[in-house]
Amino acid sequence: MDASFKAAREVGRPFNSVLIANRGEIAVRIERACKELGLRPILVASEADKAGAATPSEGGSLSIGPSAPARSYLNQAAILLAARVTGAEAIHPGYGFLSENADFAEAVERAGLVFVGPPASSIRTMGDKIAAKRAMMAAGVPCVPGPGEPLPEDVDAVPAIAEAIGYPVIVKAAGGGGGRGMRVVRDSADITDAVAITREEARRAFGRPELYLEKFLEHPRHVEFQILCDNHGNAVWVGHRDCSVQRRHQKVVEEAPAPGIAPELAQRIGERCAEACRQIGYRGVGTFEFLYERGEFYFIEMNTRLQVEHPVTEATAGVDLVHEQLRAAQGEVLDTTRFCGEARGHAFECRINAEDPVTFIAAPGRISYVRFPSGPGIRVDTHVSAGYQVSPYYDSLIAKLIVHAPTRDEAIRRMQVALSEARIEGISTNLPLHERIFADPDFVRGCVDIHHLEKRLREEAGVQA
Amino acid sequence: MSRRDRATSASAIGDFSDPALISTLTAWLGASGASELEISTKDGRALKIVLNPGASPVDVREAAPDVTAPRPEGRVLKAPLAGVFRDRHPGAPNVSSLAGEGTSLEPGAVAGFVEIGPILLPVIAREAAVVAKVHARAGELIGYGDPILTMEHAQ
Repeated sequence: MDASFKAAREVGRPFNSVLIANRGEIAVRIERACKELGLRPILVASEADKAGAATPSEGGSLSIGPSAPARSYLNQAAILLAARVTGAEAIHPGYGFLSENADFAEAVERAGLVFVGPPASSIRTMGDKIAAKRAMMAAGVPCVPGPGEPLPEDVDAVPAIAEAIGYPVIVKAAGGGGGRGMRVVRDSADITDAVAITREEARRAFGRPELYLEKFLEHPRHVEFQILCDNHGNAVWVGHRDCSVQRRHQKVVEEAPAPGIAPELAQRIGERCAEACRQIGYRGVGTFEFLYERGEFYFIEMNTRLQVEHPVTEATAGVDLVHEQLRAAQGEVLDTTRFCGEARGHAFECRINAEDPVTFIAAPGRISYVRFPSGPGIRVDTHVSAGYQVSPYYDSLIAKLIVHAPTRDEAIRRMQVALSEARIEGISTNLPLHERIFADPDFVRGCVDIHHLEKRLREEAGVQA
Repeated sequence: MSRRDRATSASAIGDFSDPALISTLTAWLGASGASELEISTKDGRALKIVLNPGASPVDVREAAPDVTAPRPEGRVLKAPLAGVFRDRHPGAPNVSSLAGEGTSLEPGAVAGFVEIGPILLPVIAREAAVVAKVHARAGELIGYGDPILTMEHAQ
């Protein structure tokens, strides 16, 4: 690699065209941002997405492979070749798929293209839970109690470590995520078996057996901080979100700001996150995820990409995060004085999935009729329209309904009305679940923990039985 | 006949000559049945990589879409990956089109190429056939699975 190219990679480089290596609503979202910045968006699609489009013009411009993600949206070579043949100068990975793949980020840069995201080194560090925790501790970001290093291979040494942390503890695979590769242990009699079983699961599922041990929090909320960085050492936190309404570790409803967080505490944590980004040489957007319990934050992981729920921060922070991503990738200097971390109003997002609202089984099929709400303070991010075929190959997310209002109470009312106006026919969706969530007195009151939705669903199932 | 991917040019944006990138590309192309890959470097040297020694030619139809969609009548050769369709070898611009309508093709005959920057993938007829219709225009950007030719069995 010659010196001038290396220097260009380190500070970013202007580009005029962006290949969007993703699908669905986020591809549409990024396409729009590119157009607003005068950049040429290049859409790619798998065969299923090409065939499922309601009209040929909505099917993406270039088919890159078969329907299976491994042969299309996860196929690095196919995407690099598509970039080559279309003349793309940059690649935006969106979220999911290759967005947090350090090898792909490196391959993009090696091909002479700009990766719209952080450097591969940052992705690699934050993708390893142990390395990430160590980096966060070094930056003064509060972490869940537990050693910032892997458990020793000698299982007999583990009980003493667990005793030092205090039960209950949670055993986690260093390479795991999304709720996989973890086990809660409440009693010292179970710790050695739990470690042995989780280590074997980790070896099989993630290809690496390293585990770590942390304090298990009983009733935490999920609160995360949005960070924005340029390639010149500037980093700023632009707001926080509450994503505690989850089912099987999948977020269902998100809101910004997270209710009930003292501004001084948020400022302190947000600034620590920004400092961590400066220390690891981060670029673009990133999210620090925390568990929050009894007024304390505990870092769990960093997502080195755009989040699904980014619109609630855009609404309350007055920022277009995709614009900022693209500007950072082009080497522009971030004006941190535009951001103070203070939210303007309150925003909610409902993830609308093509799934049975009771069993949550994915419900692919053709949409016969769709009507989304509109009006002041309402935003819908979607790729579907009447006639669209929801594919069984991919995530069931078909739309995000976002509302923004001056206060949380007004935003709840706005979402309730918006949900009542939404109509999607031909397939099942989780719209009825969202209506129930926004009618739940505990949710309306605010500050529910990450177990609340599943507990409520179990109660409802019990009543029906 | 071995399948041959040939580097033809270097681009202002990446010449695909980085060893790690070549590794990624050859792994994928090798998995899809390509047997050789040639890459021209900026200084004019040619790098030849044998991917699958002794591999038989790939039937392009095997890489066909796994989604049922309306298809033209007859046997359709489809693009094995996204690229620019060439109806003749870029290095021989003065020869006639390899597979115009009515052309008889023998098994293993090259009916055209898909060009992706420095990589050239041949589109190969597997059986004796007559070209009934040409769907892709020379110089046109085509996607994976797009129809290139419809062929009918030779009488």
